[in-house]
Amino acid sequence: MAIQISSELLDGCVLGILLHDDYYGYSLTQKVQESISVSESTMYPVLRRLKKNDLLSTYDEPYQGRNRRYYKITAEGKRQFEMIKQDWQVFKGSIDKMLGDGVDHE
Amino acid sequence: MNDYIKQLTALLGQLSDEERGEVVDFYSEYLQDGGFVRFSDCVAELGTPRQLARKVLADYSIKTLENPSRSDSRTQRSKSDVQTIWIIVLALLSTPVTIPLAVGVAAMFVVAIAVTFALIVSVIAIFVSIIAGGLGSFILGISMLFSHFWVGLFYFGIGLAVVGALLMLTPIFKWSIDGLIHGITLFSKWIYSKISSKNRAQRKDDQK
Repeated sequence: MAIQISSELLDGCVLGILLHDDYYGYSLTQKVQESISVSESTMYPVLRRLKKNDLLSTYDEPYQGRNRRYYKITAEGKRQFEMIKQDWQVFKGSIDKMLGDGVDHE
Repeated sequence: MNDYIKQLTALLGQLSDEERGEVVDFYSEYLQDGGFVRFSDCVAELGTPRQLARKVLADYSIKTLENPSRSDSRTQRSKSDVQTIWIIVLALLSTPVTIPLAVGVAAMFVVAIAVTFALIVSVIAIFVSIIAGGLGSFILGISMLFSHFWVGLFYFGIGLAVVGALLMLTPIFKWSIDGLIHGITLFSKWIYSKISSKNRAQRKDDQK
């Protein structure tokens, strides 16, 4: 895929995944990578930024003698997700318009 | 895996203890959850510790660029731009130059920096020469006021007009220098994104 995803959209994707369930770092990265190509070194800054802006919270759960850090979306995160979703709809609409869909213009 | 994490920790020395701790926790948990045990497995997943550390550090600096709301004035942006340029230059220098392509890219980068520097110097030179011209005319005007009153007055007026116009144009000069610095920063970021090695997910994507 030649088109690079912007950080706002990536925020939206991560928030969208966390909307359904809490994930830990590795599983979340896998989940995102199912759909788009992002590097592990991209995921960490995203999570860090989202947490810093209180869009998600973290909690630790013991797993096989160590801790797993889970990420959970906050109420603020849900609001932000809706905003990104709307922005994306507008953006998608205008790009689709320019790319044409092979209709109109006759 | 422990060796990998140990090397990564050592390479992140310039971050604060808290930030480094979080980065290291994240990646050690990641490697454990992914079942990457041998050193070579970890490298295949995340790149060498040095590559990963470089990416983490570059992300830390580039992020401040992507949040312009946090830097209020243009001066601050220029400062963080210069910092980003330096970090990326250092990252480029620490890249193993075994690949001829990397050498070519690095050369291009150096040329771009040199050109930008030359442009900045010329903008400053233009500024200084106009000031000198204006002041010269102004002083000439004053000294001629007594011998040839009208000619003197003419030079006097020209001098004042030039200096006045220049003062009004000052923001443009400042703006063009800021713009040049910002341009070279975007260029460095672009280069960085071109040469930073691809990870597993991207490679997988290329094969599709």
